[in-house]
Amino acid sequence: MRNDEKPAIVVGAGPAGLCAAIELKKAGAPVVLMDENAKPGGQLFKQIHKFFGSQEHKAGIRGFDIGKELLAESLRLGIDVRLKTEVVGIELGLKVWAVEDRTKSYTLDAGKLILATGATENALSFPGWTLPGVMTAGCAQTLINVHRVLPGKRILMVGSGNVGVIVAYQLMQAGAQVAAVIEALPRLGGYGVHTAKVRRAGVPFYCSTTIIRAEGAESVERAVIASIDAKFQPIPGTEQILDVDTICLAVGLTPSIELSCLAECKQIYIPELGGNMPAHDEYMRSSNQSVYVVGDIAGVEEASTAMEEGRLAGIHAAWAMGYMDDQTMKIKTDETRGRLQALRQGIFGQKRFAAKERILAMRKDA
Amino acid sequence: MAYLRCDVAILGAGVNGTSIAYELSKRGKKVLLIDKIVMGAGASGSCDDMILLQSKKPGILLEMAFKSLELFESLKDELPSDIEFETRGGTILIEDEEHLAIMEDFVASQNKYGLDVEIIDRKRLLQLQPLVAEDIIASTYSARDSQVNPMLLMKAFLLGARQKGMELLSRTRATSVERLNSGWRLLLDSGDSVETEVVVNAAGAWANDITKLIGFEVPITPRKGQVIVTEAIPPLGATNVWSAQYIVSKLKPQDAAKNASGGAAAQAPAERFGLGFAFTGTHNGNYLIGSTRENRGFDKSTDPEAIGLLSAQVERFFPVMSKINFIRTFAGLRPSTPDGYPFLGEIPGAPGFFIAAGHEGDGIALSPITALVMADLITGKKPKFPMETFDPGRFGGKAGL
Repeated sequence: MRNDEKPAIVVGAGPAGLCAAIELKKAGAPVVLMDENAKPGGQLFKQIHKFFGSQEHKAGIRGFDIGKELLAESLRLGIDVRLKTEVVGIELGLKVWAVEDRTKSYTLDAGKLILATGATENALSFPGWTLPGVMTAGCAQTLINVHRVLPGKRILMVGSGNVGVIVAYQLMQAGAQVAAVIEALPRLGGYGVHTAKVRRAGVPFYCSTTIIRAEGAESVERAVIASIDAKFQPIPGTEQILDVDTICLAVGLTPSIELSCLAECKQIYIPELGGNMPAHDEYMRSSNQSVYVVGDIAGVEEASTAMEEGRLAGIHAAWAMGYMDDQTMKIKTDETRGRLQALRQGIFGQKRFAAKERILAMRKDA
Repeated sequence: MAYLRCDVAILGAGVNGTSIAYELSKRGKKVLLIDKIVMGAGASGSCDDMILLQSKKPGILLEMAFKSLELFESLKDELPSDIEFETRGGTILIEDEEHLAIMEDFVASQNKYGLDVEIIDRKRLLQLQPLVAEDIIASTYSARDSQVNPMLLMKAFLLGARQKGMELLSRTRATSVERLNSGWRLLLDSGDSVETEVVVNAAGAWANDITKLIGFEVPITPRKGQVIVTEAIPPLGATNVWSAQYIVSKLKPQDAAKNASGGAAAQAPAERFGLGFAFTGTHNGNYLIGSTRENRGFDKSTDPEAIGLLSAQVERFFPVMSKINFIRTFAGLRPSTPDGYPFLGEIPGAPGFFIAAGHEGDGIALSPITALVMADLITGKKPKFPMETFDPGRFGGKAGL
């Protein structure tokens, strides 16, 4: 039974949101996909590296090519994509309040709501952090890969996780020199294959090291780094001065949960997936049964897992709206969950796998 | 389970709870301040920053506002942290001859009470507000209207009180109240209990939840005000701004009563939302655009229709605002009373059980004087103002313990 013709509204046209909208549209459900940016694709179009995983996970394909594929599919299906559209409010019940092009405000009733709002990069504050030349790693990646602008010539990368090492490598490909990658923890955080490429290029890595301050008259001219002890306190006498004009911060991401708060979704704290985030069940439904959360908002992971989470929610929402029979829904969600599980296997996925299992267990308790 | 003892237990850490806590701590009382959420979680943390004299009806509220402003001028140096107090002056924009006539009378009556306020013509208004819309015919001007940052004010009261031994319990509510031979015992949802000589109910829009615990009903109802926050921009003009319409609506509580008593659907949207114009720039450069006055129970959501009206209104008075981005909206629940006066005093039939709530939109501006008169009442001193107008028993009833 179809409840009515109210569309499913998907907020965020990154990998998770695009996949959710595609699954809904394929099932014949009405769907509206909203994104505040001028172009869909989220962060995919700045990802020029190849993805991991198996064949069905688009392994070996570069991020922007995956983005192009998803866009082509959404165009072919005729999805109603509304760009430059910010969702600024949610009324329980269920209504979305959107502002288009910063000029036109309207509300739209939703059958279901899928939040795929992603995550925000964390910043780090230190003396000099507001000098021009200090930016997040994601910002530097957008500058080089989307706008083709080199932010600086000599870079200090703060943070050795995947974002740090991938962006460090891409900055080198774009013609910059990376003076060092520093890491506050005693061990490196990124995948070996990305880390090794940067190390082979001769970039020094310093563990148990932090940035003390940035110096410069008009913009960054130097960075002062120092070793830290087990309590993350700088050790006097270990300071080093690096001549750099750009400091990139790759110090983690935080789920962008604002809309899920407006929708009164129950929030939980999972530090290894980025902090506070809406809880979800095995179909990516939040505690508000009409609202799904997919991708980084539901715990910071990767584009590949975000896409599968988007599919899972899209399939389930299509079923809940009466556009898919029980058996098809079961088969499709089982398949999708199988692929998700596979993506979280192995030593790199273990921590995330365990965290996600914890989220599901919490939902069952509640 | 702990047994706590104090001289005065204050329920509600808004601007009144914190200011009373500060004043009583200064007078040597051992104060315990209790909030069911955190400091400023209610109306005091979701309002604008104005200390308005011009908006007050001539009478005791205006006199108290005068005294309050004087107190702010000394508090800004006395308190342990900055409160961003500033006297920029205020202008009330007048759109037509009808409002001009009402405002001329209003200003004349305020002048009689000693408030330095005048009507200025468009030419003088343009010196203060060069970007005002072309068809604004005149304005009032008072050099004394001021502003203060409510969050910093509460923080400063809290810090000051703490330095004198006050303690704060957040995320804690009183679930029941027992009368003792001398004083009161509060049972808290944390399992702790408090023995105190005096209780002060400073719970704002939620004050009736507290008085109910002693079997007393106080007619305070939440009145919602929605506000827009803009991005930070350079100052548009010298003064804070309201519209005469806002003052006219504030002067006539019967309009608000009409709003409450149904028939809302038939009213024009601006009337239905109790729309008025209040426009002020914060220290950071963000402008606050308010506000509505709605009776919607305890619903604190903002909605597109009201925000649309506020947005159209600011563009009507300042066309340049169409170019400015809004970054946030919020709503606060102002504690309103049937006659527009707060309840300040002892609850009938409950010696030692006080209330200081119901200031609606004047809570921030009146907090210093509220603290003073409440501390006087509690310590057995006679306040400098006649308190009959604010009598908690003026609508009848008696504590039913």
